[in-house]
Amino acid sequence: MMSVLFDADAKQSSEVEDQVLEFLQTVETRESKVSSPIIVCQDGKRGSYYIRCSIAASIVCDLLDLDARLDPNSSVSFRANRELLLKHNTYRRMKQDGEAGREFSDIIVEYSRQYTPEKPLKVWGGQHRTKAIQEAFQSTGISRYHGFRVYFSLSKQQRADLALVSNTNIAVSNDLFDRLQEETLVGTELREWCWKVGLLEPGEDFPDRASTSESISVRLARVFVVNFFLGKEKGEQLRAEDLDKNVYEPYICESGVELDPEYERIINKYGPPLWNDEGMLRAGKTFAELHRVQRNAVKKSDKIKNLKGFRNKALLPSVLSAWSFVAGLLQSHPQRLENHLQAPRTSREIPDPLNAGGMSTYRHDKDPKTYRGLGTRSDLLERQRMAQVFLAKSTCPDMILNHDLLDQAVSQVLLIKYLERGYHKF
Amino acid sequence: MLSYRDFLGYAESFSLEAGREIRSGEYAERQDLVTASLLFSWIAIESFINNMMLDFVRLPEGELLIHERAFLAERAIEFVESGRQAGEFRISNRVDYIPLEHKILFLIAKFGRGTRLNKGDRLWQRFQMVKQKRDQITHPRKSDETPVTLEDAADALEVAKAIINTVSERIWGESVTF
Repeated sequence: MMSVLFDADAKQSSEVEDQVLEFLQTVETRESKVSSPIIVCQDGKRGSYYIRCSIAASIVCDLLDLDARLDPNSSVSFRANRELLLKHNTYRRMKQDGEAGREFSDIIVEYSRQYTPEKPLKVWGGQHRTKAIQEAFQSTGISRYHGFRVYFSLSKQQRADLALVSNTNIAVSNDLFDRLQEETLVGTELREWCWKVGLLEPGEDFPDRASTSESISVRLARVFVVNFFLGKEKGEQLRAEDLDKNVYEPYICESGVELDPEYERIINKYGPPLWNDEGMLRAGKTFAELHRVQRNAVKKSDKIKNLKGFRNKALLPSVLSAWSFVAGLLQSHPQRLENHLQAPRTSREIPDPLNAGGMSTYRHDKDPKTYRGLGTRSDLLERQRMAQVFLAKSTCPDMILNHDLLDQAVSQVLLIKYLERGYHKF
Repeated sequence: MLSYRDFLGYAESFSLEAGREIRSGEYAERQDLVTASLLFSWIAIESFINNMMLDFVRLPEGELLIHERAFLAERAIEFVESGRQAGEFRISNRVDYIPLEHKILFLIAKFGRGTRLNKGDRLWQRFQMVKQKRDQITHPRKSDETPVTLEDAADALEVAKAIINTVSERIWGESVTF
């Protein structure tokens, strides 16, 4: 019988003790082999329980599950870790080291038989080291002892925290951070909404690194939702004749440790019915279609360079936030809404609805020399301008985002601000 | 679409090239290059001012008097004799070109946060001299044919930048970068 002791800083727990004993009976460790006692520790911040032990590659390889889930009970919970970068030089080096007998340490796993019970060690930190151990054992048959930290009885929050903390060594991307946070603190509704409107393919998850993806990220999906409701709230206060007399300020959600406050406010204020809001569903579907048409137009046309920035013009934060804000703003102004939801017209010269080429070369005389074109950056001025572009486009059906319209929108922002400052003397 | 920065760039290149060739002794003068430089400096001011006029003509209805709007749009005003607007004035489609100096005076007087342009200023006088040169080039007469010098071109470039910055500072409240 193995001796399991609780560390002085760890609160005694029979549930955890049972789990540890079950683990030790199932998985042979070096500690059990030499009858050394196992110490149960408890994380001071989150209260998670864990032990440290060493396991031979020959035993552990088949027990490791790289598809760890944040919510073991939910069938819609996705693989939470980032994609493995098997062609990365750092990984190749790890694999070579493993084949040469390197012993890896501090691999973070959770012991759980709630899903995929044949692989009860769910990997939360060190997935590349884990893969290297597996591949090295497969190719050479060399079995060395590797160091593990095994967690027990984790709550969803403890699990998400563990995933984030364990990934800081490899610079966890903000997008992965957001994805973990969304599922832990909010749920799976945002992803399901994206499936429903077509911003994600059915079964597709948000990318863990949006910069290399052409799909919408958690952050941008949040931006869409937040701006739709911010616009809607604003539009309800405005008369039709006042719509074009304002400069609007689409919002950009921040990635970070805390849930973005505006996103939190919106989901708390509107509650679960938010995800079935007819107006937002229609806007989401229309926007997904705009993104699709834009992408295809850029890919197929010889009039415009097939650049990622042009293909994904709709997914640039300033463009997406402004489009969604205007969709919300015009919910109380149906005719303008219809015009907004109609895809911008294209022509021989402007083959893509968002005129990505035209926007990229646009510059107002007042802009600095370093200005990179309309909608390229995501600062407030760009978002204001893009909102005015879509608002100007909504004044009539069949509008095309040509130079005149872009210039008119930019002038409008400039002049409204100018008048607000009261510099003039009429 | 070319902007005032592009035109200033052309003016600078022509001026530099003329300077290089004259200094090297290869040519005694390069009328073609210095003339081009001076004209591009003028075009740069025109471009900046015209675009600013276009911005302001988009001010919402009611913010400008009809003749101000017509001025900004460089269109003539006509008296309507019949139809629903009979007895009123309206902006016609007939182009009514405005001299550049009038545009500058108007923009500053109307939108320059209460400031006025002092015609006695050194800058304004230099601007008038550049204008005179430019007029001689574009409306040539054998009676007043005077050559454009490298100094004229350099002066025009400097004046163009100074005028653009003055208007920008007075109206937008900030200078521009060249």
